[in-house]
Amino acid sequence: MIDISGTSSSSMIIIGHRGASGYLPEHTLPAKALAYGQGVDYLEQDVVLSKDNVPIVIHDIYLDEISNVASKYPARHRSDGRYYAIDFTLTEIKTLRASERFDHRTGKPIYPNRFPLNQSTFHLVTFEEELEFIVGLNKANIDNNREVGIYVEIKEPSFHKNESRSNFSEIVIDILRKYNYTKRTDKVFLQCFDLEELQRIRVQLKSDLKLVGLLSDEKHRSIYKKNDFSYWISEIGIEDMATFVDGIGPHYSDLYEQGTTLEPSKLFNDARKHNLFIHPYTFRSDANLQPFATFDAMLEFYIDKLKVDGLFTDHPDKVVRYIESKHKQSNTGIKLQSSSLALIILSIAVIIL
Amino acid sequence: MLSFLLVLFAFELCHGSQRPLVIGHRGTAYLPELTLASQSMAHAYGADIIEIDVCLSRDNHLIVIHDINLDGVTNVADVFKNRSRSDGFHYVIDFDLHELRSLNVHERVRPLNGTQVFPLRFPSKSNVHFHLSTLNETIELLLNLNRATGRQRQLLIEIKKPEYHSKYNKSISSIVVATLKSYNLTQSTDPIILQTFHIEELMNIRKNLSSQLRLFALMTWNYVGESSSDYDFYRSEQGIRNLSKVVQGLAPDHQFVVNYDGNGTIISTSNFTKWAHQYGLSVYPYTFRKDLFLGSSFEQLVEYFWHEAQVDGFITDNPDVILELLQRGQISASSYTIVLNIFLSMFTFLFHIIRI
Repeated sequence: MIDISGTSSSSMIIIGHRGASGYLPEHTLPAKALAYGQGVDYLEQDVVLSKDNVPIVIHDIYLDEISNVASKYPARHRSDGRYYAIDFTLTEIKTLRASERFDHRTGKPIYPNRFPLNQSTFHLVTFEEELEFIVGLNKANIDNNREVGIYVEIKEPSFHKNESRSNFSEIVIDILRKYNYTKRTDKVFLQCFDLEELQRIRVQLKSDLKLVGLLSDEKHRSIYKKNDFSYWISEIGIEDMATFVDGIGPHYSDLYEQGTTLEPSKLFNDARKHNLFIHPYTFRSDANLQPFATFDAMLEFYIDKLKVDGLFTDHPDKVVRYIESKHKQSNTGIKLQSSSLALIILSIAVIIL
Repeated sequence: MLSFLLVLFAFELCHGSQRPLVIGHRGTAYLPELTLASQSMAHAYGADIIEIDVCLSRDNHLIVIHDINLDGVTNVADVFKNRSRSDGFHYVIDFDLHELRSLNVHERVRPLNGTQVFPLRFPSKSNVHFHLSTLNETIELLLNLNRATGRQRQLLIEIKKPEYHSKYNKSISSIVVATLKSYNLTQSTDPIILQTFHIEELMNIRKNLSSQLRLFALMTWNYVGESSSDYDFYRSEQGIRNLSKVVQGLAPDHQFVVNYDGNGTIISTSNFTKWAHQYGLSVYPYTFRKDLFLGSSFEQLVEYFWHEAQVDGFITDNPDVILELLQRGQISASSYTIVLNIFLSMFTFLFHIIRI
């Protein structure tokens, strides 16, 4: 929740997607610091295991699109030509220079107007470092009444299981416990695209953490072959999911029906019916915004019309500014109306007299 | 009458939109000082200017660090056990860049006992790996953040202890000016300001290095021994007049700007700011740290410096807090302005009608 002095116009949470990744290289500490300063409620971490089983904050299971691994360790790729984080120790990963995301085939940046490649110096961090970073920041901000929460994604449990790390989730949950993040009342969410893994976390591992079922969009469904998405997004699937998750993290385009008027989708309605909170991803002001004309129009639809419970964004400052401008409009309007009315009456009285 | 009203109208408009500049001292209070993360946070909070310090390494790289020794903010004593001087401290100028890069940076501690200097801040024993950065990395961070966010923040670079560096035959100022030049940062219109405590060095930068960059003169008490400059002279009216020929702003210890009594209560404003403004100089006192004040006394201090002392900006560890204070004051000022403007326009309109 944004603490605008007085009432806030929405009780929606803003999640810094990989930090303020619209402005600084994703998942670096400066990107997280920037997001914290821009006013997020939660900072997001994706975690993947290193060779020595240390959870690293990185979005891909590969290192070659966000670091200089290919030039620093040229021979260490697999037969598919990719460099896997799980093939590198923490010490090796710490020698890498992290950067803005680029295409590993061409070397060109994915978002050309963001932070340029090869400028300044950034590093990859461990999940534990990021937890200490956030906990430390919250401690330093007690006087400012500011507490930013953790929003962690366990990446590709099946991949990790195939690499003989079937206790990946346990490792992450243990680290969270070390920093006192264990209950649903704590400021933490645990998210995953693998619904069966979330079920295991809830039922077998008996975790009380808030769990978020991530739902991939049309384009990416083929990557997650094992999960039967048509099941999970069906009405029965949502009902099933609601027994072990607390909310869903869908792609934003799955929340409206395709057509000329943007009506809430069946998925949206089913989630609401089962009291699941909805945190769509990802709101990027520099991406294709269709069918919305502007970023603000997009935000208006999700924040004010659908009233989602939270959203993931690369540009937290823009979301904050949108919400504040809506709040200010209602405030200034009232002030202006009453004081100018009073003055008009006064002036007319002066003339008459 | 009409022209008077119009002038009043215009004046209200201008006054309502000005506010003091906010300078994020070493970034912000909330993260280890001078790290790229701390600078990024200051940028996010809207600090107009981000302040950093530079010292030279053995191989002539500009390291962004406040002290000439490494023991307050790094784990140098653990990593390089035999590289301290006889006083037990490890000096930046005794290390090469690649060695400095291997260090971990943390929240400031007292080297003798490891206690945290500001106990309410980021934990100094935290396991997060922060690093020292170079001036180049800092400039690249700032310029590209400005471009990506569309927000133009400036960099205020303090050149630490030029006389000390000269003893090693290093002209730190020349290296700073040359580094900035390599990024095309040379003009007074560029988002860079240089400052240092050694007043004569400022004259060297302006006259001998022929730099056109904006300069601020830092000032402290003579007894501190920061440099050989005579601050008793430089903060007199004549001293300020002298400085006005070379610099654009003054960054004094806040005790030069107001008079405090024995209990730390402000009694009055000194002539410092009046003289500075008389000679066209801006005043930016240091350092406003919220965690040194209890309750609302920090707010009262800021209000006094802004309204009574009329300084041009604040050098602060808490840019977010001061900006919020200024904006809260601003918001009531601007709605007052709107209401006043409506009243004035109605009045002038009616006045016209009556005259016709």
